[in-house]
Amino acid sequence: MKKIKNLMILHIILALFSVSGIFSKMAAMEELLSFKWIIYYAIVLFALFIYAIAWQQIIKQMPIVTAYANKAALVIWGIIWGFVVFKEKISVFKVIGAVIIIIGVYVVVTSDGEDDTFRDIDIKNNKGKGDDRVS
Amino acid sequence: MSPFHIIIYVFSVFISSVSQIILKTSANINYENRIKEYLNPRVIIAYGIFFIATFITIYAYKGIPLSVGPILETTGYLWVTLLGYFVLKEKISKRKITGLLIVIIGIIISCL
Repeated sequence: MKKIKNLMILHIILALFSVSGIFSKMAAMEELLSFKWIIYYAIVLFALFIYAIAWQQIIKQMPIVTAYANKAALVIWGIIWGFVVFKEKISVFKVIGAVIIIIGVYVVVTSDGEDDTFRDIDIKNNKGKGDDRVS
Repeated sequence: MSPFHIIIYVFSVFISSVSQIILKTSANINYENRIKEYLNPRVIIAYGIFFIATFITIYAYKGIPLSVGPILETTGYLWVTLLGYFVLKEKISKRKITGLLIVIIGIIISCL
Protein backbone atom coordinates (compact mmCIF):
# COMPACT_ATOMS: atom_id res chain seq x y z
CA MET A 1 0.00 0.00 0.00
CA LYS A 2 2.85 2.34 0.87
CA LYS A 3 4.43 1.49 -2.46
CA ILE A 4 1.35 2.59 -4.36
CA LYS A 5 1.17 5.77 -2.30
CA ASN A 6 4.81 6.64 -3.07
CA LEU A 7 4.28 5.89 -6.72
CA MET A 8 1.29 8.22 -6.76
CA ILE A 9 3.31 10.95 -5.05
CA LEU A 10 6.06 10.48 -7.64
CA HIS A 11 3.57 10.90 -10.47
CA ILE A 12 2.05 13.99 -8.89
CA ILE A 13 5.57 15.47 -8.66
CA LEU A 14 6.25 14.56 -12.31
CA ALA A 15 2.93 16.00 -13.46
CA LEU A 16 3.58 19.28 -11.63
CA PHE A 17 7.12 19.43 -12.97
CA SER A 18 5.90 18.84 -16.53
CA VAL A 19 4.05 22.16 -16.26
CA SER A 20 7.42 23.94 -16.24
CA GLY A 21 7.75 22.91 -19.91
CA ILE A 22 4.67 25.01 -20.69
CA PHE A 23 6.43 28.05 -19.24
CA SER A 24 9.66 27.30 -21.15
CA LYS A 25 7.63 27.27 -24.35
CA MET A 26 5.74 30.43 -23.35
CA ALA A 27 9.05 32.18 -22.63
CA ALA A 28 10.27 31.08 -26.05
CA MET A 29 7.36 32.94 -27.63
CA GLU A 30 8.30 36.21 -25.88
CA GLU A 31 11.12 38.57 -26.66
CA LEU A 32 14.34 37.69 -24.84
CA LEU A 33 14.61 39.44 -21.45
CA SER A 34 11.25 41.16 -21.83
CA PHE A 35 9.12 41.39 -18.68
CA LYS A 36 6.99 38.36 -19.58
CA TRP A 37 10.07 36.39 -20.59
CA ILE A 38 11.69 37.02 -17.19
CA ILE A 39 8.51 36.02 -15.33
CA TYR A 40 8.16 32.76 -17.28
CA TYR A 41 11.85 31.96 -16.91
CA ALA A 42 11.69 32.62 -13.17
CA ILE A 43 8.77 30.17 -12.93
CA VAL A 44 10.82 27.56 -14.84
CA LEU A 45 13.80 27.95 -12.50
CA PHE A 46 11.58 27.87 -9.43
CA ALA A 47 9.89 24.67 -10.68
CA LEU A 48 13.29 23.05 -11.31
CA PHE A 49 14.41 23.98 -7.81
CA ILE A 50 11.30 22.56 -6.12
CA TYR A 51 11.44 19.49 -8.33
CA ALA A 52 15.10 18.80 -7.44
CA ILE A 53 14.21 18.82 -3.74
CA ALA A 54 11.07 16.70 -4.19
CA TRP A 55 12.97 14.20 -6.35
CA GLN A 56 15.66 13.76 -3.70
CA GLN A 57 13.01 13.06 -1.11
CA ILE A 58 11.03 10.60 -3.21
CA ILE A 59 14.05 8.54 -4.27
CA LYS A 60 14.69 7.81 -0.62
CA GLN A 61 11.28 6.13 -0.54
CA MET A 62 11.62 3.81 -3.52
CA PRO A 63 14.20 1.99 -5.62
CA ILE A 64 15.95 4.47 -7.87
CA VAL A 65 15.21 2.29 -10.88
CA THR A 66 11.47 2.62 -10.24
CA ALA A 67 11.78 6.40 -10.03
CA TYR A 68 13.81 6.68 -13.24
CA ALA A 69 11.53 4.30 -15.14
CA ASN A 70 8.42 6.24 -14.13
CA LYS A 71 10.09 9.49 -15.06
CA ALA A 72 9.52 8.55 -18.69
CA ALA A 73 5.92 9.67 -18.05
CA LEU A 74 7.22 13.19 -18.75
CA VAL A 75 7.18 12.27 -22.44
CA ILE A 76 3.42 11.66 -22.22
CA TRP A 77 2.87 14.90 -20.31
CA GLY A 78 4.72 16.83 -23.01
CA ILE A 79 2.35 15.48 -25.64
CA ILE A 80 -0.72 16.23 -23.48
CA TRP A 81 0.31 19.82 -22.63
CA GLY A 82 1.34 20.47 -26.22
CA PHE A 83 -2.12 19.44 -27.35
CA VAL A 84 -4.10 21.17 -24.57
CA VAL A 85 -2.18 24.45 -24.28
CA PHE A 86 -0.62 24.98 -27.70
CA LYS A 87 -3.03 23.03 -29.92
CA GLU A 88 -0.23 20.83 -31.21
CA LYS A 89 -1.22 17.83 -33.29
CA ILE A 90 -0.89 14.38 -31.81
CA SER A 91 0.32 12.20 -34.67
CA VAL A 92 0.31 8.42 -34.67
CA PHE A 93 4.10 8.49 -35.08
CA LYS A 94 4.50 10.64 -32.00
CA VAL A 95 2.43 8.29 -29.85
CA ILE A 96 4.13 5.14 -31.16
CA GLY A 97 7.54 6.81 -30.75
CA ALA A 98 6.69 7.80 -27.17
CA VAL A 99 5.69 4.24 -26.28
CA ILE A 100 8.94 2.90 -27.80
CA ILE A 101 10.96 5.51 -25.85
CA ILE A 102 9.28 4.47 -22.59
CA ILE A 103 10.08 0.82 -23.28
CA GLY A 104 13.68 1.78 -24.09
CA VAL A 105 14.04 3.83 -20.90
CA TYR A 106 12.74 0.85 -18.91
CA VAL A 107 15.37 -1.42 -20.50
CA VAL A 108 18.11 1.16 -19.83
CA VAL A 109 17.32 1.77 -16.17
CA THR A 110 16.78 -1.90 -15.37
CA SER A 111 20.21 -2.68 -16.80
CA ASP A 112 21.67 -1.31 -13.56
CA GLY A 113 23.46 -3.83 -11.48
CA GLU A 114 25.14 -4.96 -14.67
CA ASP A 115 26.84 -1.58 -14.70
CA ASP A 116 26.64 1.43 -12.46
CA THR A 117 25.98 4.62 -14.37
CA PHE A 118 22.63 5.43 -12.84
CA ARG A 119 23.33 3.91 -9.43
CA ASP A 120 26.10 6.44 -8.88
CA ILE A 121 23.78 9.26 -9.80
CA ASP A 122 21.50 7.91 -7.12
CA ILE A 123 24.30 8.22 -4.57
CA LYS A 124 24.97 11.74 -5.76
CA ASN A 125 21.31 12.68 -5.44
CA ASN A 126 21.16 11.32 -1.94
CA LYS A 127 24.02 13.57 -1.04
CA GLY A 128 21.72 16.36 -2.02
CA LYS A 129 23.77 17.85 -4.79
CA GLY A 130 21.97 16.45 -7.72
CA ASP A 131 20.67 17.88 -10.85
CA ASP A 132 18.56 15.11 -12.23
CA ARG A 133 17.73 16.39 -15.62
CA VAL A 134 18.66 13.20 -17.30
CA SER A 135 17.88 11.00 -14.48
CA MET B 1 9.72 21.83 -36.74
CA SER B 2 13.22 23.03 -37.53
CA PRO B 3 16.21 20.63 -37.51
CA PHE B 4 18.38 23.50 -36.27
CA HIS B 5 16.29 23.93 -33.13
CA ILE B 6 16.22 20.17 -32.59
CA ILE B 7 20.03 20.18 -32.58
CA ILE B 8 20.06 23.16 -30.19
CA TYR B 9 17.70 21.35 -27.82
CA VAL B 10 19.78 18.16 -27.92
CA PHE B 11 22.87 20.29 -27.27
CA SER B 12 21.26 21.72 -24.13
CA VAL B 13 20.49 18.18 -22.95
CA PHE B 14 24.10 17.23 -23.68
CA ILE B 15 25.62 20.04 -21.64
CA SER B 16 23.30 19.37 -18.72
CA SER B 17 24.50 15.75 -18.91
CA VAL B 18 28.05 17.10 -18.73
CA SER B 19 27.09 19.07 -15.62
CA GLN B 20 25.68 15.89 -14.12
CA ILE B 21 28.95 14.04 -14.74
CA ILE B 22 30.89 16.92 -13.14
CA LEU B 23 28.62 16.67 -10.07
CA LYS B 24 29.25 12.97 -10.01
CA THR B 25 33.03 13.41 -10.00
CA SER B 26 32.56 15.91 -7.20
CA ALA B 27 30.45 13.47 -5.16
CA ASN B 28 33.31 10.97 -5.29
CA ILE B 29 35.69 13.37 -3.56
CA ASN B 30 35.86 13.62 0.22
CA TYR B 31 35.69 17.23 1.30
CA GLU B 32 36.91 18.67 4.59
CA ASN B 33 33.53 20.05 5.52
CA ARG B 34 29.93 20.47 4.39
CA ILE B 35 30.43 23.93 2.98
CA LYS B 36 33.27 22.78 0.76
CA GLU B 37 31.18 19.81 -0.30
CA TYR B 38 28.63 22.17 -1.82
CA LEU B 39 30.71 25.23 -2.60
CA ASN B 40 33.62 23.96 -4.60
CA PRO B 41 34.62 24.76 -8.20
CA ARG B 42 33.13 21.57 -9.63
CA VAL B 43 29.70 22.04 -8.10
CA ILE B 44 29.63 25.73 -9.04
CA ILE B 45 30.70 25.02 -12.64
CA ALA B 46 28.18 22.18 -12.89
CA TYR B 47 25.29 24.36 -11.79
CA GLY B 48 26.55 27.17 -14.01
CA ILE B 49 26.39 24.86 -17.02
CA PHE B 50 22.97 23.64 -15.96
CA PHE B 51 21.75 27.23 -15.73
CA ILE B 52 23.02 27.95 -19.25
CA ALA B 53 21.27 24.78 -20.44
CA THR B 54 17.86 26.03 -19.24
CA PHE B 55 18.50 29.21 -21.21
CA ILE B 56 19.37 27.30 -24.38
CA THR B 57 16.29 25.08 -23.93
CA ILE B 58 14.04 28.13 -24.10
CA TYR B 59 15.78 29.30 -27.26
CA ALA B 60 15.31 25.85 -28.82
CA TYR B 61 11.58 25.97 -28.04
CA LYS B 62 11.28 28.80 -30.57
CA GLY B 63 11.49 26.18 -33.28
CA ILE B 64 10.07 22.99 -31.79
CA PRO B 65 6.67 22.05 -30.33
CA LEU B 66 6.37 21.53 -26.55
CA SER B 67 5.56 17.84 -27.14
CA VAL B 68 9.00 17.27 -28.68
CA GLY B 69 10.99 18.76 -25.77
CA PRO B 70 10.57 15.88 -23.28
CA ILE B 71 11.13 13.41 -26.14
CA LEU B 72 14.52 14.99 -26.96
CA GLU B 73 15.23 15.15 -23.23
CA THR B 74 15.51 11.36 -23.24
CA THR B 75 18.74 11.64 -25.29
CA GLY B 76 20.18 12.42 -21.84
CA TYR B 77 20.25 8.68 -21.11
CA LEU B 78 22.59 8.30 -24.07
CA TRP B 79 24.83 11.24 -23.12
CA VAL B 80 25.15 10.20 -19.49
CA THR B 81 26.04 6.65 -20.53
CA LEU B 82 28.61 7.80 -23.11
CA LEU B 83 30.16 10.37 -20.78
CA GLY B 84 30.25 7.78 -18.01
CA TYR B 85 32.07 5.46 -20.37
CA PHE B 86 34.63 7.94 -21.71
CA VAL B 87 35.14 10.17 -18.68
CA LEU B 88 34.54 7.90 -15.71
CA LYS B 89 35.59 4.67 -17.44
CA GLU B 90 32.32 2.97 -16.53
CA LYS B 91 31.30 -0.22 -18.25
CA ILE B 92 28.25 -0.37 -20.48
CA SER B 93 26.22 -3.56 -20.44
CA LYS B 94 24.68 -5.08 -23.56
CA ARG B 95 21.27 -4.58 -22.05
CA LYS B 96 21.90 -0.86 -21.67
CA ILE B 97 23.08 -0.58 -25.29
CA THR B 98 19.89 -2.38 -26.39
CA GLY B 99 17.76 0.00 -24.31
CA LEU B 100 19.53 3.06 -25.67
CA LEU B 101 19.00 1.87 -29.25
CA ILE B 102 15.29 1.41 -28.52
CA VAL B 103 15.15 4.95 -27.10
CA ILE B 104 16.89 6.38 -30.19
CA ILE B 105 14.51 4.54 -32.53
CA GLY B 106 11.58 5.90 -30.51
CA ILE B 107 12.92 9.47 -30.73
CA ILE B 108 13.36 9.20 -34.51
CA ILE B 109 9.85 7.81 -34.99
CA SER B 110 8.39 10.56 -32.76
CA CYS B 111 10.03 13.26 -34.84
CA LEU B 112 8.87 11.91 -38.21
